[in-house]
Amino acid sequence: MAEKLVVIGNGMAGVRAVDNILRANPDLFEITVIGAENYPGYNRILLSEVLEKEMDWPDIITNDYDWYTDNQINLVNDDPATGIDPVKQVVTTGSGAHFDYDKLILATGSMPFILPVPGHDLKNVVAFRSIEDGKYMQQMAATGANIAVIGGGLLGLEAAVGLVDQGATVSVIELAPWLMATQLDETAGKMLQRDLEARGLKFYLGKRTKSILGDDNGQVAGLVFDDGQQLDVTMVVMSLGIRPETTLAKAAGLNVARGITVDSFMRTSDDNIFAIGECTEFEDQLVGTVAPSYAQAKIVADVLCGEPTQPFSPVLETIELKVPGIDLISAGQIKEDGDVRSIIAQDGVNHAYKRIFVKDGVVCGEILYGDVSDGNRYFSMIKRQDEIAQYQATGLLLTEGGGDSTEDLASMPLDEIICGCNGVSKGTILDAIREEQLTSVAGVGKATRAGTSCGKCKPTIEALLQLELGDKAQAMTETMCPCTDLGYDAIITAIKTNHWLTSAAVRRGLNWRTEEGCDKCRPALNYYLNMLFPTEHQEEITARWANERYLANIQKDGTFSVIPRMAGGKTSPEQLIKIAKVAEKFHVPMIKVVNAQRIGLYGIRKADLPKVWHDLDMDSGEAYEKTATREVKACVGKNWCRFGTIDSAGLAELIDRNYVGIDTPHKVKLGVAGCPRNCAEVLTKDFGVIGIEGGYQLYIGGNNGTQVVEASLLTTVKTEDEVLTYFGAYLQWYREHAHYGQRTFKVVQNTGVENVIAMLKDDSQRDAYLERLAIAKAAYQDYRHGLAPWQARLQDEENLKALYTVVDITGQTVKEGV
Amino acid sequence: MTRKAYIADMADIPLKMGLEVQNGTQPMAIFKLSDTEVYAIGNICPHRQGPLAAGMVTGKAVICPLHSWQISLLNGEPLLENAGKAGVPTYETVIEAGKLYVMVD
Repeated sequence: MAEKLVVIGNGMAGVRAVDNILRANPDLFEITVIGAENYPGYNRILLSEVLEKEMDWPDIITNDYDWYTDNQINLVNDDPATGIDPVKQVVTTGSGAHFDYDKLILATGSMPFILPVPGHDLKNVVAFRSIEDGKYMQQMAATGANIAVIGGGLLGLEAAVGLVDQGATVSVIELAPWLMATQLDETAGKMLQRDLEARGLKFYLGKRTKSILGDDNGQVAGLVFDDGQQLDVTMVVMSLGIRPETTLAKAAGLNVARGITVDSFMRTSDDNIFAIGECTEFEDQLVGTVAPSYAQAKIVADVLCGEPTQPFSPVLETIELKVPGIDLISAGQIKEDGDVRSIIAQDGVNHAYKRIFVKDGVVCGEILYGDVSDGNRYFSMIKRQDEIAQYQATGLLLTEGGGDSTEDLASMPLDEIICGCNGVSKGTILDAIREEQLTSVAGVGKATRAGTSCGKCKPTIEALLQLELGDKAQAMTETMCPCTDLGYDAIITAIKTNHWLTSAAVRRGLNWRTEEGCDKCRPALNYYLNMLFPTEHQEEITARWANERYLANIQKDGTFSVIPRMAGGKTSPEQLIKIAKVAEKFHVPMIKVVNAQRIGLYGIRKADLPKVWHDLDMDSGEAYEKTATREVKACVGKNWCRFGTIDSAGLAELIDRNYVGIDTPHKVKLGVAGCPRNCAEVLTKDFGVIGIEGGYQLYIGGNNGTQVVEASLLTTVKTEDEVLTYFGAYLQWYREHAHYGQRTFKVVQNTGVENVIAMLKDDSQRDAYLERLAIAKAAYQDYRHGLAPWQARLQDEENLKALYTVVDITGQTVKEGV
Repeated sequence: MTRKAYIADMADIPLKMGLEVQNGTQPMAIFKLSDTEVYAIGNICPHRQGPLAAGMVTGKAVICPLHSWQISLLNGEPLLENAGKAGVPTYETVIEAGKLYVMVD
């Protein structure tokens, strides 16, 4: 029976989480959504557009009532939740109804801050926060009312402009000396004030409201400042910021600071209760915009559905005022202090202003007013932490390349986010355009969600469509190979969605340019098919490179190497004698102790491979394959070494035997050192273990090749079992996220090492990866009938004959491999 | 003088994987693409002498296992970025009563 999921909050975060869960696995939960307002899911960001009459109320509904019905969601509307019993796992609502839950998501959002002055409870004092508020404001404005907006921040100004445009007379009251004081400096704030005054707004800056005056009917009659000045107004709109709504969480005994405290996977202090959106607090930071809320809604859905996911980290955003005709952007750190300095350019002729903030030679903030064409360029510099040493200070303020925005878009990296609200990158949009042959902004929105929230990125999406459809030569850097324009993620998603089981089906389904692919995409597709459907996919041996096909490393002269397994670098007289006898019998020209602590026999002819392995009767070291444990380098360890703290050779053997032979996107090298002297040189391995007194330090993402990368400390554990589980989860994460042919360090770098570490340290994430790895491991063992690779191959007569037969027509005789 | 050399029964030749044939100083790689379509080319890649019989077959070309040169099965010429460079010899194939023969010097 499906588990019961209750979501408290029918707002943007709650609805998005439910939508994500349905997309991941529609059958997993029986879902109940409890909401206080009498509307289905709507886009709160667009309230100001509605007030401006650019959109109508029905336009901002994101999920209509049919969506709830069609997806069998029980919507409890207009009936706020009033209590949570975390022990009995029951939610109670205002009407007295009870809802049992197995898992609970709190998406209770925030409440507007109401200034606690006398008169704040009068009838026409509102906060612009809901559809009801907006409808009331529209009505009042239409009568030409005199309205005070308290709060000269982003939302207050958007509301004020909306009200003026609807016919109201509006006074904006702000305690700070200039507008949008947290996002703008005084110069930009004053420029904004002048432009808004020209539109008919009146401003009272540096003013503190003392009380709101009422008449006999409980309606607003005026407003008094603490300096005695009085305003004649008949309505007050409070826009002073928000406070997380935590009443239910507090009453239920959850940890609450300013918001409901959550970890990076959205868990509250109760294992069965999650929280997302504006009601939460993560690492002392609150959420106030939609982008982090949506990111959290994705994470909570993934965690609940057992899908891999990245931990939450705060999102750097730009702030823009959604008022037609006024262009401003603010991002990052915009106050000067000891370390932060700024560069200013003011263009009095064109009424434009730029100020860039720099800390330790790195761009850290921007304020642009009037001309925002460079906003994205500076924002990218902030996100990438660009050094500005290469620019002359004033040159930084010049527009690059004559300000050709098409060129900017073309050179924009694929991973750059175009839709900040939904976290959709340029690459994702392009993939969707190509894969689904999209031609409109609306189509892109439907496929990727880009542009469907605040909508300010729609022009960029449109430009991207023009760029893509107008110029086919636009190259994707992430395409799998010249046979396709698609990137890895799009291909993997398509395989998953369509449940394709053969490479031919993938090539057909995605309109490959070549019927049979190339040596880049064929092994990759074979790998991804197996990774996604380990129990269903049939190995395609013709898609394998020579090494993996012949189970031997091809050498420059066309002969092969034979390298038996010596787990942990340990061997025995029996093994050594076998190797010696085989070397003698087949006149092996080169015997070498190789880097991976085992013995290699070089110069074996293809037709002799089966005979050599038959005589050796040893496990293969799989030196030829992209598999998990082809190399675990270890020192001798504490059983011998007087400095050793762990049995490194024994642990190496344990890891080797546990994860032997699982296909990976590239080779995976490991090292186990018995003590911090690190004789096994594990800090440049894909996965390294260093023994310390009482534990094991685990390292990930090291590399030693054309690029040398030092591994990063993942964690310290106490038992060998924990080493195995961490490595297993890391291995599966790598299997699922790498481009075929990419080593772990690349994937770790691309994902961000802190993200990988946070994910692997999370018990449920680790368990989910291990579960999938276990399925892959079992499928691999089935495929080889539980035998070592060469023992299985020696029983596979068909492949033995097909692969190792060499015909000699010099004397018209036929020599077979067996 | 050209002679007709027996290679193997068609049924015993692997599909879309190379079969290595030793023939003194002129080794060959045989590629069966279907029951009626078989190609024989020189086995020594013109680039660094890689054994083409161990390569990956795609369409009517083989990709050398050493450094990924693509060689046409139709005429033995290198393809793509190496087009125009020296290729490998090709040999006429004959299928008779389920047996494969190659015409060799």
